[in-house]
Amino acid sequence: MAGLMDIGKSGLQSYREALSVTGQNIANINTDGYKRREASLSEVTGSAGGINSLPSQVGLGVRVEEIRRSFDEFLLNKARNSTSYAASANSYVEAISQLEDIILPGDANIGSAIGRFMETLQEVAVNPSDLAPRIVAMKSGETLSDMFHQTANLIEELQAGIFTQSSQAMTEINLLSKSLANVNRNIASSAGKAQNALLDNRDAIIDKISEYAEVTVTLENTGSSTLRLGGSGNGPNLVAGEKAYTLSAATNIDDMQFFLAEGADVRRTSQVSNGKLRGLADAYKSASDAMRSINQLAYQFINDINSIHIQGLDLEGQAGIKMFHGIAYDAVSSVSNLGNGSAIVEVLDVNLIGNDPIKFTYDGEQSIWRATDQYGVNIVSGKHQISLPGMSIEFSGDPVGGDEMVLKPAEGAAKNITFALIRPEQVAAASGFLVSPDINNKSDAKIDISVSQDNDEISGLPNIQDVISNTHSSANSSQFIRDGSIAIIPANTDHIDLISMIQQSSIQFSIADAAVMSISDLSITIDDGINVSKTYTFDLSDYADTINNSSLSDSDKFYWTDASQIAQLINIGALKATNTVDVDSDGNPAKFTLDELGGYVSGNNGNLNISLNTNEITSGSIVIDNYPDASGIIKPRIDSASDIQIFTREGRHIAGSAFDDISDLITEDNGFFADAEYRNDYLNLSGDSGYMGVNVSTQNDFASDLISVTNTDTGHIITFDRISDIDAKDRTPDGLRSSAGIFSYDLSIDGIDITLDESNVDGDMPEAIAQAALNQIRLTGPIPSLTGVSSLITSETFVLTNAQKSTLDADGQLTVTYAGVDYYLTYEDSTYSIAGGPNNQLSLSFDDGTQTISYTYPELPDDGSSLVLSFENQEYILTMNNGNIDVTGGENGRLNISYDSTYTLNISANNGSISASEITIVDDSVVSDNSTMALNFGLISSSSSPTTSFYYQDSSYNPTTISGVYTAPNFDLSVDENTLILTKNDDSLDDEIIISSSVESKVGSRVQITDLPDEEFIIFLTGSSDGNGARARNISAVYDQHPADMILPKRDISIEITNLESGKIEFIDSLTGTSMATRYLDDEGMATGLGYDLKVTGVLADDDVFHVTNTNDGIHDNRNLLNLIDLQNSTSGKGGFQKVFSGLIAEIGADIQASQLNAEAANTLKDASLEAEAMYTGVNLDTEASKLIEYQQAYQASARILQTAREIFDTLLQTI
Amino acid sequence: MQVSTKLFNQQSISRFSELTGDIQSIQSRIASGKNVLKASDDAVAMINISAAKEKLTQIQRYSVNIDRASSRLSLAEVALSEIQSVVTRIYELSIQAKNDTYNEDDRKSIKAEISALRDLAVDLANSKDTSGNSIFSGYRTKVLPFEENSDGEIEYKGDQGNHSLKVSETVTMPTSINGVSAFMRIETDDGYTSLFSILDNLIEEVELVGASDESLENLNNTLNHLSINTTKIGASLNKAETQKNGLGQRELLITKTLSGIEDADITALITEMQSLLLSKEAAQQSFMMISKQNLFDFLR
Repeated sequence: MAGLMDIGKSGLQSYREALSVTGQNIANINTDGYKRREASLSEVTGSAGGINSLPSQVGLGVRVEEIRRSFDEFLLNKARNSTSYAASANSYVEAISQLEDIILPGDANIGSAIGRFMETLQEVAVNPSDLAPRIVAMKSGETLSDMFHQTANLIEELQAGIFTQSSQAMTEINLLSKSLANVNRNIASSAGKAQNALLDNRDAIIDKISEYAEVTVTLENTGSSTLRLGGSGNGPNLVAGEKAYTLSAATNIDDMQFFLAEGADVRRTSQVSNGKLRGLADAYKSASDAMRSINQLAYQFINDINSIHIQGLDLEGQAGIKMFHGIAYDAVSSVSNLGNGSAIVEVLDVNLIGNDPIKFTYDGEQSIWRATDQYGVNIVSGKHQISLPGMSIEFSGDPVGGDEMVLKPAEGAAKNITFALIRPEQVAAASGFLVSPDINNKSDAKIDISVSQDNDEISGLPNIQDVISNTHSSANSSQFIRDGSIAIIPANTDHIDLISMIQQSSIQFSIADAAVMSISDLSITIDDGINVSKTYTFDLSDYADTINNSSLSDSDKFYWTDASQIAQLINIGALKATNTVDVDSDGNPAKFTLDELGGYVSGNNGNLNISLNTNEITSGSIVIDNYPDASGIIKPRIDSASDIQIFTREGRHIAGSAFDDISDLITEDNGFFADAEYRNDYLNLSGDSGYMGVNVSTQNDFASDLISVTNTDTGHIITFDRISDIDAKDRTPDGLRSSAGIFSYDLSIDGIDITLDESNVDGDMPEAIAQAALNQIRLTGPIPSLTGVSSLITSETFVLTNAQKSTLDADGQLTVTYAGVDYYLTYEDSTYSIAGGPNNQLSLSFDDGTQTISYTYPELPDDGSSLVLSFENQEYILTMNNGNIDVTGGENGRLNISYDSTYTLNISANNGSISASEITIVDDSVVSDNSTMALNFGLISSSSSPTTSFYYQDSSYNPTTISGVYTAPNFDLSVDENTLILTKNDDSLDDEIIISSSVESKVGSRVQITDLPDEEFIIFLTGSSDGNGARARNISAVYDQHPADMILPKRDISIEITNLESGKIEFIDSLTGTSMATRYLDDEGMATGLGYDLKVTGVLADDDVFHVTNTNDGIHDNRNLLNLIDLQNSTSGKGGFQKVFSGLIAEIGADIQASQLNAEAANTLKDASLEAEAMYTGVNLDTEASKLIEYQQAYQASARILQTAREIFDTLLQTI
Repeated sequence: MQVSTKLFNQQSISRFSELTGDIQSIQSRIASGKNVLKASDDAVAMINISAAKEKLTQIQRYSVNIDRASSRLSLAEVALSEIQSVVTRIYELSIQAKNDTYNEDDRKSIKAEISALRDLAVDLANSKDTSGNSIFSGYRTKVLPFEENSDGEIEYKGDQGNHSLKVSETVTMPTSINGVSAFMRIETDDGYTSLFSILDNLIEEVELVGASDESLENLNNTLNHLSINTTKIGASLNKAETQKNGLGQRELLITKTLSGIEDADITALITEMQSLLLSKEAAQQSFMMISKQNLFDFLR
């Protein structure tokens, strides 16, 4: 019966343990992570039978097989995921609800502040000349700014708060991760099966982590766990075995980014998919979005208000300033950039800049920055610079592919907005102009005018600085393909000088870089249009041959490395050309420099360009060793240059040549306004009769203007001119264009023919040309000279006293003083010698016989005394100055005047005198005492005077007179700056002086306009109708501009009804009376012109005039303010701020609504999942209580078994 | 189904706080009398409310503007009609002066009276409004529009601006007329002239020959001109009155709409509140009962 006792004992023990498990369950009812335990009981079977016994079928009782922990991985994971999801939804709702409270805190919000501001402006409009409402308006403007600041600051604070919360959550996660790693370590060390408590611990930690961030859990058989971030199962490890990774966060441009770190290796992760952290990150992003919207609202508000306010005038008549400040433009680099590229934004026109963000991404492969809009659509790209509407962005630094920068034009607008007006007077309530009907108008009609809101029609033509470089140059000129409009002269241009040139014949060679070193011959065939053409060959082989010369060491070999070397050697004449026809005096082929052929060459790398100034290149080739010959591309000479026409965009013809019918040219395609009308009333006129007072100079046959002859009362004036940079040699450094120089001035005066070329002229200034022409002409006249009749040398003596002589003889030396001058005499070796004496002495001697000291010296006129001579009708004044003669008056350097060794005055002209003018002494009646002076100067003596002698330059004949040898013409010449002045010697002689001249120039026509008004002009080329159709559209220009943003005073205009029937009106500039534009009123009496929209009310009469004046004293004018107030109602994409604001509020509201619903759903799901999990693993008191009863009963019953066993035993004992 | 006691407790507790939150929200609506307190309550309603409020402010402003414009315009009307009576009196005097029985002395006294009346007319043309702004000087309200120059002629110093105020989204209303329209463009046979030069001519001739026919005709034209302008102003004032009535109607309509969207239905809210309170109480009591009831009570 021992068996029954044992069975009962096993029951007692097992149920006591089961009761303990239930007790443990009840005790841990509130323990986090505690999973219900269950004692699992099993029978202890009897021993197996032996040979002598049967196996017992009864068994040996009961035992607790295991204490099972209720655990279901699937349910648990589901519960965790839903917890994460609910946590993200809840934390998002919580944070974003604060956002709503910030933006719409009640009645005082941005929207109502804008409304209030507008309302105060209304009050200003009621009485604009009163300061009180202006002060109120300023205050409300400041309040509005404050409201923006406050909202922006609060959003920033909210974001900072969200970030702090995230950081705290992250600290928590990192601690938990470490704990989990520890648990994993403990599990690993408890080899085999881990304790339930450890597992509870593990699950509790993972549950906690799930609240912060969604994780995917993988469990090993041992119970050790691996956590990956995110629900996808592919996220990075957060905890792997005993290793924990550190999670951190940073704020980027407008969102929050997460990073996982293992040691120093930090990687960005996008796998924070759910959980409180996700909710916070989403809320951060939403706050950024709200901030951006607020910024955009501020930006739009600032821009729209300012754009109207600056159109008005303030109470003191000053132009309105910006009412609000606060827009900054910065491109912000992303925190994840690897390179260090940066950008500078230059704002060109604020009004053109949109308020949407633009992202720049660096493309490492192509080394360019790409700009994309907020939808990721590529807008534009560039290496160092990108142009976007209204701004230009310059990039620098060393970016790495994938680097990003974001430019948010509206960024910070809400934080930076400030009310910019300081004084109440600065509210620009008044409109800048006033329309008044002329008092004599026949009708009572009125015209309402407003500044046109449509942007000026863009001409579609390139700006002049984009197509013509601002310099006069023949090689850098711009060549246009066709006639018509070529460019716009922008409104901010002050003056412009346009030159239209011919096209020289040229040839362009392009040789592969590798072949340049082997160039051996260059030949061009030149046709001068008269003789047969000749082929000139430049032998370059001397250089090339060295390459093939094996006897030369490499360093001695000469290589062409660049065509610029060839160009330079040809240009300086070091390389000469020969042809097959011409020979020199020795019978060898004649050699020519390119200059002599009228050519010029430009070279760079493999490019070589040769041009000729007059003749035509018909063919050319370059011979290259081991390469095929290179033949060039030839441009023919085009002798006729295009005519330049200048128009206003309204069709007013300012400069050029008049057209009969031009209507089909005045088109929008040509850059004119749609309503432009052709007028040539102001064509080529200047000043009062010119267009708006411009000064126009048009030269259509320019070359003939380079020498011009004008008649004067006394003769003629010949003026020389030259645009040095145009007619000079010129080339571009790239070797693609060259322009040969032209210098040829032919002049014939009364049979004296001269030709000036570069060799005759010192420099190329017009002054030098005039001087050279004069010098050239003088070569035909004899050179006059005049020699004085007396020498100015005087001699003087004095005698030593005997006493002095004795002293000299005795002492061997003596110093005597005569007339204040010391003389030093010595006596040695029976020889007397003398030294000292006056400074200017010519000779000094001592006669010991007569004891006489003699000396000679020049007796020059006193310093400052002057003599006046006459030569070629001009007076020359000779003045003594320290023994020298200064010459003043007359032509500088014309006379050479000096004393010769005998102190005789020599005067000669430095060149011939075509009038064979004598050099004469001006009469005493003209200059008093002049003859005395002539005597002093030694020019005359008391008895005689000199006569002019002539040296005839051509025959070297040297007569004293000119008669029979030279007949002087009846005029004289002198030069003044760039003019040659021809003076008739005798007015009574009516001889006709015949002057003819010609000049070569590249310039065909020239247009110069100064005092240009603030208006765009069109440059238009014409002239292909000359028969052959070829015109050189070759334009060079120089222009001056004032800053584009300089504010010029607006012009007053008058609007005149010129034809009532057709509704034709003229816009007249009031100051100059110039008709600037013509329009026709439409059926509703409306028209638009010169930036004004106008509308007629009432019935007009013929010749009615309306004056649009720019007033500044209309203090009760509120029209600009009315426009400003109109911004309340959104028109043409501007204004409507309150609508924008309530849209923003609604957006956030709807977001909160949606996320609240979302959170509710998430919470329900979470509850359900937790319930499902708890059903399996949770502790229910009722269940546990019933188990308690159950086990207690079983325990009592087991006790009963023991008792029964004892009773049985007792029974047995008693029976014994 | 087995429910974890811990979970049951947690869920019950969170349900109570939810109910409290709902009750609080209804309470604040009842307290403010507004149905929509936050955009998240009803985003669409919020947009409508702010649009209606903005419109309401504008309409109220238009009404104010009409009042301001009307009061200034009325001043102009009064001044013009007074000038009209002055000119009428001058006209009568001129007719008298034509009478052959009047001798030079009589005409002298008539001249004196006309001169005084002319000065009165100038004063009236220089009338100012309550803020001290000249009524007939266009935008140059701080100058006296009509001043005598060294030749004794009256010159206009104002400009041709017409100050006006917005009285609806599309309509503006002038607050006066400028001096040129009022007095400087009276049609005569020789073109346009001013009221004052007509009067000055009259004064010059009245002493010698009495009023000429031309002067009389000019005076007549003047009266016409003044009466046309007075009528125009009157018409403007009438129009303003009509406009104001219209604005009043709109204001009423918008206020009604606004109240419809915005104002809380207190009865409905209180009913809802009561039902929520009831649910809360029931939930709490049942929780008490449930949590009290467990098997341990029966374990004795």
